[in-house]
Order: sequence, then C-alpha cells, then structure tokens
Amino acid sequence: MAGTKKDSGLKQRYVFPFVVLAPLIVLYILFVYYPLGYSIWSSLHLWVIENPLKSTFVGLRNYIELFTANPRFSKAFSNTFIYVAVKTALVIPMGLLFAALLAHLRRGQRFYIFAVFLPALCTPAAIGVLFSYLFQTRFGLINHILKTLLLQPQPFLNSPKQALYCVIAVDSWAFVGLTTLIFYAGLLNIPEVFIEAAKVDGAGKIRSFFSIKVPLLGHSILFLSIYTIIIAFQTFDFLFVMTSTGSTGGSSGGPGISSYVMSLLVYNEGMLRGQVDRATAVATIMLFFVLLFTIIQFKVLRPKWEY
Amino acid sequence: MRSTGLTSKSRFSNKEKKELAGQALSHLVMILIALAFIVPFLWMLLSSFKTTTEIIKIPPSFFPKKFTINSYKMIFERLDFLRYFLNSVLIAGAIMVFSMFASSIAGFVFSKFKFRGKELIFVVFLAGMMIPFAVVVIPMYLLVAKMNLLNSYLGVIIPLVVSPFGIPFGTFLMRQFMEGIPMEMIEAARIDGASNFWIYFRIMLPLSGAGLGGVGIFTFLFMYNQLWWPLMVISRQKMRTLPLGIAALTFQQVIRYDMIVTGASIAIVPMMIIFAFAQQKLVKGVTLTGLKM
Repeated sequence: MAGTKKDSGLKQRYVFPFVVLAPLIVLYILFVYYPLGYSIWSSLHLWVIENPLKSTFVGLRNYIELFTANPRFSKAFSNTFIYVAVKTALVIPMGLLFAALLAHLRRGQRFYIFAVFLPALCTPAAIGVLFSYLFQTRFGLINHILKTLLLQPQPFLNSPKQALYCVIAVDSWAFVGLTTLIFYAGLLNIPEVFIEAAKVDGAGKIRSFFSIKVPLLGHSILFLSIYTIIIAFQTFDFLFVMTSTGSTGGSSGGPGISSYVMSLLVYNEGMLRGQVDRATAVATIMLFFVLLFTIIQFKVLRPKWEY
Repeated sequence: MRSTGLTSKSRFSNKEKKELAGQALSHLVMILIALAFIVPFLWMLLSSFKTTTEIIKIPPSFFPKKFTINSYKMIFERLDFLRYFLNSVLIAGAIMVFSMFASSIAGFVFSKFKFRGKELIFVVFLAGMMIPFAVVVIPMYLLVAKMNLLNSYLGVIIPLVVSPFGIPFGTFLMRQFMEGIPMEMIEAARIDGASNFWIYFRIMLPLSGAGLGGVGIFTFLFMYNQLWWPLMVISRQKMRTLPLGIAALTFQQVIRYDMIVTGASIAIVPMMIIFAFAQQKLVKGVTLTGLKM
C-alpha cells in the first residue's frame, strides 16, 4: 500500500514535467533549432530549389562571395553597424536626460511618461508610414517646419545620403521611451543616503547626477546599451515600410541600395530573388554577431545575474 | 521651525524660489520634449479627417478645413481594413492565450519540480531567445510551406508562439514569479491528494495572477505589432494583418497619404486607449522586467 502511494507520487513528479514539456520541446525543435540548423547547412551549399537535398556542398564559397563580390552585402553590412552605433548613441544619452528630468520633477510625470512611452507600444509599420508622410518633401510637416524657420528643405527619404538616418531617427524616437522608463525607475531606486551624502560634501545637482547617479546606474546603462545593440542589429520593420522603392514588387532599402541592412538583405535575397543559400549565409553572419553581443552581455553583467 | 526669525525665513523662501524656478524650467523642457512625441500623433489624427486634396496641400494646415470621415469610409469599405484589424486581433489573441497557458505551466514545472536534465532543458529554452529572427525566417518559411500552412492563421500563429517573445520569455518570467510561492503549500496539497493540474489551477495560477496578466498584455502587444513573419506567410489579401495592410499602402505606384494616415490611426488609436487605461500596470511591468534583467 505504502509502496504504491510512493510510486504514484514519483509518477506525479516525473510524468507531469515530461507531459508538459515534451510538446513544447517538439515545437521548439521544429520551429527554432531545425530552422537554425537548416540555415547554417544551406549557407554552406549551392542550394537547389527543386530538390534541396541534392544541393552541393561548397564550403565557405557563399560567404566569400558576399564579402568580396556583393555590393549589396557590403552596403548592408556597413549600414547595419552605422544603424546600431547611431541608434545606441541616441537612445541611451537621451533616455538618461529624459529620466533625469522626470526624476527632478515633483509632479506631472504620468503625463510625460505617457507621451514619451506611447510610440514604444505602437506598431512600427504604422509609425513608419506616418513618418514617411511627415518626411514627404513637398507637403510633409517636417519640411514645412524647416521652411517656417527659414531653413533649407531637405530631400529626406528620397536622398541616398539621408534615408538611412531618417529611419534611424524615427526608430530612436520610438525606442527612447523604453530607455527613459528603465533609467527613471533606476534613478528612483537609488537610496536617498547617497544623494544626501553628496549634498553634504557640497556637490550641486548636476555634479551629483554625473558623479553619483550615473555610476550607480552603470549596470542599467550597460544592459540597455547591449540590449539596444542586439535589437538594432536586427532592425527590419521601419526600414521595410519607409524605404520602399515604389511599385517594384515589395522591395525596400532604397533609394537604390542606399538603406540596405542585413535583415532586409535576407528578405530580399531569400524571398524576392529565391537565393536561399546566399540569404542564409547573410543570416548566419548575423547570428555570429548577435551571439558575440550576447556573450559580452553575459560576461559583463555576470555579477548581477543572481535573481 | 516656521517662527525662527526673519532672516532665516527669507533665506528659506529664496531657496524655495530657486527650487520653484528649477521646477518650472524642467517642466518647460519636458513639455517641449513631450510635444515632439505627441505632435506626430496629433497630426496623424487630424490629417485622417482631412479631404484627399487637403492632405497634400502646400503649405499644410493643422486643423482640417472641412472635417470628413471619407478616409475611414474608404479604408473600411474598399480596402477591408476591418478584416485586417480582426485578423490581427485574432492572431495576437490566440498567441497570447497559448503563450499564457504554456509559459505558466512550464514556469510551474521549472520552478517547483526536480528532475534530471531540468537545467539543460531550461537553457535550451532560453538559448532560443538569442537566435535572431532573420536566421530562422527562410527555413521556417520553407517548412510552413511544406506543411501547407501558407496563408493560414495557424501558419502565422505556431512559429510566433515559440518565437522569443512568446513562450520563452513568458516561461522565464513565470518561473521568476512562481519561485516566490512557498513549496509547503504544494506539499500540503499533495498530501491531501491533489493532482498536479489541480495545484496548477488552484494554487499556482491564482498566486501568480499579476505576472500572468503582464505576460498576456506584453505578448498581445508584441504580436499585434509583428510585420516580418506575417509578411512571409500571407499573400492573400483577405488574410492580411493590420501591419501588412499598412505596409501594402506604401508599395503603390501612387502613394495615397490619406489612406496612410488613416491606416496608421486605426493601428495606433487602440494602443493609445489601452495605454491610457493601463498605464500604471504597463509601466510597472516594463520597469520590473527591465530592472530584473
């Protein structure tokens, strides 16, 4: 009697996790790890659309071709890093500034947080098309403001030099609410003792912000920077809707190839040109960098990872 | 304190003045910043009530000269945006329900059971979160095509359920929340003969309700906003989600900006309403997960 009871207890403890996790693991293997393996596999082959299993192994040829003989890839590669650098350099300091202002205020935070964080919740595609209207060269709001201020109107999204930066600006505009919120919460979490101590030592508000609060926020700043880098590295939505080259069957990255990034290249090569091997080679290069950033994240943030 | 002589009182009020001036200045700066975030949305909403000609007028007008709802009529009647909206809600809703169920039950298993390989399986779960979507998107498309799920709801839903911000992130959060529930409660229920499902429904779920609600809201918002995967799977017009319908507006020979601002409004206004009503909860959720990371 006692034995069977123990048995059923054991059964309950071991069968239940299995029953729960098995279907999830199947889904996971099917839709995460199998595609991952497939990507790496096909990036090393000359992919044959009729029968992928008959593809011939070509080693690193797809990669070498990308780096040596593909202007679209060179453009996408450098643009991706520009995108990451500029976006991170915008949203981290601005988030800190907004958070400092919010923390300094005694009332009204709710409204300001609503304003700043709202774009972070909204559909990127919707924000993207909205700004393509605002950036419109002839009747857009932004050129209208420039003209009112007696400044030169700009071509914005129509210019190969400006298009990428316009998209980065919009993306950062939508993203800065997140960094603001997290820095703001971090600032409120700083114990009053530190600030009082600085006051006693005669530090002014600005001085105590830079020499006390910013270092104490160090962990959040690092975490959010790396998080922003990883997200920005994979950017797709804003570029896709803001840089479409008109009616060319859903191709983005224009004008010309001026605003290509790696995600966009994966889509354009894989879906529009059917070059699965080349597309997955680009994807695998992206995987390499994202894993690199992730390892840095774990290494740098180790001490805090105790939750 | 108040009656400590004239000199110190005037010094106090001086300090107060300085403080007030500082507050006023900060408000002024913050209002300007807030305007930079509000004006585009305001412009969008006002423009959606302008006529087709007014929207491309030079110079642009702030308030519509002739207030009209023609753009909305057109976008709902001719472009089927109601269907797109419902598709989006259905897809995001299904992913939300599935993720909430799966991640809460997986969170239960990961926080309250001991079995061999647990750590390894958890790492396998989390590691999937680091894989960029671009890496899996093409093989996933080939797979879904082979399963004959192109242009179907299931074809959109299943891969997104196991994408980083579906079950993996949900499981991670639910495990965190459930770890706080005392093991004694579970042991006591087990001695009374309760099954694991009973414990899950009657103890784990009620005690982690707030966390589960947070997972639900964020999953819904995140999936409602998805563009890339639906773009891969869906080519039939009727099956489009809202972001797809909006994106399609920019791939036209002649871009209709009246349709663009109206389409954007339809996607964004529900978010505004949700945010206005659930601001405190959403903000708390974001900062909690942000600070925990």
